[in-house]
Amino acid sequence: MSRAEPETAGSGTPEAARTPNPLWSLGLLRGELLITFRRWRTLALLGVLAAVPVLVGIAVKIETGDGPSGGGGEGPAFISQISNNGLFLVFTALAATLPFFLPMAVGVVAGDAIAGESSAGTLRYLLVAPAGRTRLLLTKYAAVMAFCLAATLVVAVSALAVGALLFPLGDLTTISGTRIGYAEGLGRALLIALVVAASLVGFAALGLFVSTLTGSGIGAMATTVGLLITVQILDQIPQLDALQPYFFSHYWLSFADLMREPVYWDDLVRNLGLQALYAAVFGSAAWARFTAKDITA
Amino acid sequence: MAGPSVTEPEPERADDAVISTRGLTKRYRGGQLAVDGLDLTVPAGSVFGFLGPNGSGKTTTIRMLMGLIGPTAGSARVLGRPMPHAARTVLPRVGALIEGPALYGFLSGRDNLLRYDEADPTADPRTRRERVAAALDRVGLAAAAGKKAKAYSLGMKQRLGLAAALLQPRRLLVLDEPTNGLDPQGMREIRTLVRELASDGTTVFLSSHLLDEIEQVCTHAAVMARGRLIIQGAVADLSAGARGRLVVTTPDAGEAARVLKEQGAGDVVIAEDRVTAEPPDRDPAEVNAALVAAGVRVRGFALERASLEDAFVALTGEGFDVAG
Amino acid sequence: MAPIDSDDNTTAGAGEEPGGGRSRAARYVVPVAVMGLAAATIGLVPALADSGDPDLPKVTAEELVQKIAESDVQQLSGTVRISTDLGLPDLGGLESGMMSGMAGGPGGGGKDGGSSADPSAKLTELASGSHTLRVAADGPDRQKVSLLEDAAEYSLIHDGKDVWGYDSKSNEVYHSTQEGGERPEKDVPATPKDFADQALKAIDDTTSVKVAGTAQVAGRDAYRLVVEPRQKGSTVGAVTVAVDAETGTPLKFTLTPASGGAAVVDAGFTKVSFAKPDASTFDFAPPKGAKVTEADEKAAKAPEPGRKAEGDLAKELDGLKVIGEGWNSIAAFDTGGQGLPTGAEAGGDLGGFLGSLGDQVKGDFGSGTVFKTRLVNALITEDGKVYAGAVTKDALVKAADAAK
Repeated sequence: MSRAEPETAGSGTPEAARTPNPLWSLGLLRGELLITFRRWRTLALLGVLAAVPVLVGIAVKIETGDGPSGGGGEGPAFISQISNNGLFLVFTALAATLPFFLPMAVGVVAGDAIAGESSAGTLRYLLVAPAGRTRLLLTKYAAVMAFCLAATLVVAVSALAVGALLFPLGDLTTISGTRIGYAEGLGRALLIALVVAASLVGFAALGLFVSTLTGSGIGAMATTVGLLITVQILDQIPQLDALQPYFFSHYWLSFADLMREPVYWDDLVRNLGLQALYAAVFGSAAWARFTAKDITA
Repeated sequence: MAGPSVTEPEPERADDAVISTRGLTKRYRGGQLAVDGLDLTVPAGSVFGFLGPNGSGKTTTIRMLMGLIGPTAGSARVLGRPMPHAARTVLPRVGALIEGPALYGFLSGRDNLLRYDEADPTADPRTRRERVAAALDRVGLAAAAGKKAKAYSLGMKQRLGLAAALLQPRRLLVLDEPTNGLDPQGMREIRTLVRELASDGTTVFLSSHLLDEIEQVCTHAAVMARGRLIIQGAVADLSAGARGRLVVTTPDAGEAARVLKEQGAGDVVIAEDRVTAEPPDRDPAEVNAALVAAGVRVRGFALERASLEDAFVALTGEGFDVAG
Repeated sequence: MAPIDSDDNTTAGAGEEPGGGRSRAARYVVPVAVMGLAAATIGLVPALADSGDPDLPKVTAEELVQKIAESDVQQLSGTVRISTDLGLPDLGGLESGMMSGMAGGPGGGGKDGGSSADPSAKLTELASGSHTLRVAADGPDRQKVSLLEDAAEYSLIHDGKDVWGYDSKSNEVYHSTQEGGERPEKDVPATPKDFADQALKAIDDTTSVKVAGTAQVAGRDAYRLVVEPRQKGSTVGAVTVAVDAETGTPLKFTLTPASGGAAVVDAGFTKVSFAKPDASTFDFAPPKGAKVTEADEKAAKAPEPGRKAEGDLAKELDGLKVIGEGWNSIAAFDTGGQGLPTGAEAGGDLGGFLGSLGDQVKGDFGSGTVFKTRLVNALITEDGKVYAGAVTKDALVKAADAAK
C-alpha cells in the first residue's frame, strides 16, 4: 500500500506531507524491546536464571571443598569438570537450565506476547495506530527471540563470573579428551550460548502461536509452559521414539557436541533445522490466526 | 428493513462522507447477530453522535470501522477507502478511543504515548517527543506525564487515551464513550476539546449512551438498537421529528385529563399534579381556555420541546438503558 | 467521485486484516504447506540422495572375501552408527555377557577378562539401542574409538604403548600400557570391519557366501556380501556386509534374524574418510583433576557397586565352554547351583522381568526356562546350568540333553 493515494476530502490535510521512512518501522521493535525488558516480570525471570549458576557453583564448591576429585558422573552434564575449570560452569549451567528454566522463561514471554496485550486492551490501540498485524507479529517474535538470547547470555555470563570467582581457570579438556586453550574455550562457550539461544526459537514460535489463540495472557503462558512439560515428559517415553525426533526439545542437549573434538555437527544441524521448521510452521500458523482474528478485547 | 431508516443505501459515496457503510453486518461465531445491515453515512466536518444503549452494537460497529473485526457481510469505507482492506493508509489519519483507554501500567504516561506513536509506521521519530508533549498538554496531563500510568485516576487514563488519539493531526476522530469516568468538570473539558477539534475541520465520531452529551455537542446523530440503525440525520431534524408534549400542572389532575381528552389530546398521562399529553391539533390557547372553563385550576401550562430522548423513545418504544 | 474502486467488494481477505470465513481458512494453507513441504523433504531427500545402486564390475564372493582379507587400510576416520535390536529393552549386563559370549565364542576366548572392566562396561551400552561412535585409525599403533553419549563421550585412545580410556561424564581416566601387538580396540567391536571379521571367521562349509549386488554406504560405492548359515537351528538369518569397492574395507554390517523383521545388529559408517587423521586426535593427557586408574590397580580393585552384576557375569563367563561349531555354537556354563538369577544378582528389576518372559521347557536334562531374544536364546536349567547361543529353542534343549 503506497502513500500515493490522492486526498479526496477537502478539509485541511497537514498529514498529507507525511512520507513514512521504512526505517521508522524499527521504532516499534525498539519500543517492544524496551517494554519487554522493563517489565518487572522479565527482570524477575532473568534474576532467577542468573541465580542458577550461582547455586550450582556454590554447591559444587561445597561438595568439592575437601579437594578436587572426579565426581560420580551424576547430575547435569559437565558438572564433574567444574572444580577443575570454572569455564565448565557455563556449560553445566546451560545444561541445567535448558530443559526447563530457560524455555519456561521463554514460554512466559512468548505466551504473553500477543495475549498479554490483548487482555490489557493495548492490542487494539497498537492495531489502530496502525501497527499492522503482520508487522506487530514479526516485531513480537523478534523481541521474543531477543529475550531467548538475553536469557541465555544471562545464564552464561553469570556462570562465567561465578566460575571465575570460585574455581581455577585455564586450558580445558574437551569431552573427547583433547585439550584446547582458554581463549578457544571461551569462544566455544559463546558459540554454545548462541546455539542454546537458537534452540529456543522453535518453542518461542509455538508460544507465540498459543498467544494468538487466546485473549488471556495468563492462560497463554500456562498453556505454553504446559506444552513444554508435556513434550519433555513424552520425550522420555521409549514407546514414542518414532515421534521423538520431531519434538522441539529432542536435540536441545546437542549443544554439548560443540565440546567434542572434532565437533560433531549432525545433531546440532538437526536441532537447528528442527527449530527452523517449528519457527516456520508455528510462525505461519500464528500469522494465519492473528491476521484473521477478530480483536474483541 | 423495519423502522424509519432515514437513508436508503446509497450507490455512490458522497465526496464528503468520512464514513459510509453499506449493509454492514456482523454475526459472531455463536450465531449472535451484533450488527445487522448497517447503512451509516457520516458527513465530513460533522460531529456525529452515535447513540444506543449498551449492547446495541455500537462498539462492534466501531471495531469494524477500525479494522479490528472483519464484517460478516457488507462493506465499510472510512475516508473514502475500504476497511479493513486499506487499514494501513486510513488509520494513520484516524485517532481512536475505543471502549475506554488501555495503558501499560508500568510505563509513565509519556512512555505510553511514545509506545503508541512508535506503532504508527508513518509517525516521524524525529518529532515524536514534541508531538507527545503537545498531546499531553492538550489534554491537561503535562504535569503528570512522568507518573506511572497505573497511578492515574480513571479520568486521567481517559485523558491519556484521548491524547493517544491526538498524537497526529487527524481527519477523523473516533471517540467511544469519551466522557466515561470523568467528573462534570472533565466532561465539560472534553466537550470543549471536541468542539475545538471540530472547528479545525476534524470530523468527530462520538459514541455515547448519554443523550444530553450528544445533544450538546453533535451536529448529526444516529441511533442504534439491537444491532440495527433506527435513524440517522442532523440532530435538529431528529428532534423536530418528535412532537413536544403538553404539560399541565394542576391540583385537579383527573378533571384536567378528562378535558384534555375532550380537546383531542392523545396519550394522556397523570403523574400527581402533572398531566402530560400529546398536544392536539389546535391552538394551545384554546386548550387552556377549555381547561379554565371546566374549572380546572391551572398552575402551569407549557408546551415542552421534544428532546432526542423523546425521539428515541418514540422510535423504539422503550427506555434507554435497556440492553438490546 | 471517481469510479468505484475495484477494491470496493473486497470486504475481506486480500489485505492483512480480518475477513470472511473463506479467506480466514485460506490463511492456514500456509502453515499446512510448510509442514507438507517439510514432510516431503524429510521423506524425499534421502530417496533422492540415494542415487541408486552403483554400477560396479562383477566380482565373485571369493574375490570379495579375498579383497577384504587383503585390505590394508591403515588410515581412516569416520562416524559409525550402531543399532542393536535384540527384541528386548535394555537387558544390561546379562545381554552383554551373551553378546561377548557369542562374539567371543567361535573366535576364541574372552581375552579381556577382568582387566579392562571399563571398556567392556562400555560395550554393554552398545548392546542395545542406537549409538554413534567415532573411529579414527592411523596405522597399527594409533587408534581412537569414541562413544558419543548425551553431553558426554567415552574415548578409548591407543597411542603407541599407551592405552587411555577417558569417560568425560565422570572425568575418569583409565590407563594401561601395552606390550607387543595387542590391539585394544578389538575389545570393542566398533567398526563394521570388526563385525565383519567375526562373521568371516565363521566362513566354512556351514556357510554360504555370495555377492548380492551393490550399494552406496557413506557416499561410497560398495559390494554387498551376503553370508548365510547353511545349518538349520540358527537364529541368524543372514549377515550382509557392504564392502568398499575401492579399498575392500567393510563399511556396513547388518545381521538379520531368521525370524525376519528388522536387523538385529546394524552397524555402518555414516561418514568415512581414508585420509590420515589429524595427529592431535590421538594425543591424550589426563585432564587436570581427573581420577586416573592404572590398569593394575583397576584389576586389583573390586568392581564398583553399580557394575557388580556385570562383573559377576564376566567372571562366570570365564568358565564357559563352547558346544557345537559354526553358527550353531552354544556357550554353556555353570552358575554354581543356583537357578534363575534373582533380581539382586541380575541387577535391579531385570530378574523379575526375565522371569515373566521365560518359556518353561522340559527334556532329558530335566526342566528349565528358555529366555528368548530375536537373536540369542538362553536356557537356564533348574540345576543352574546355562546354555546360550544364536540358536533356536529346540537346539538349546538338544544341547542340554546332549550335555547330560
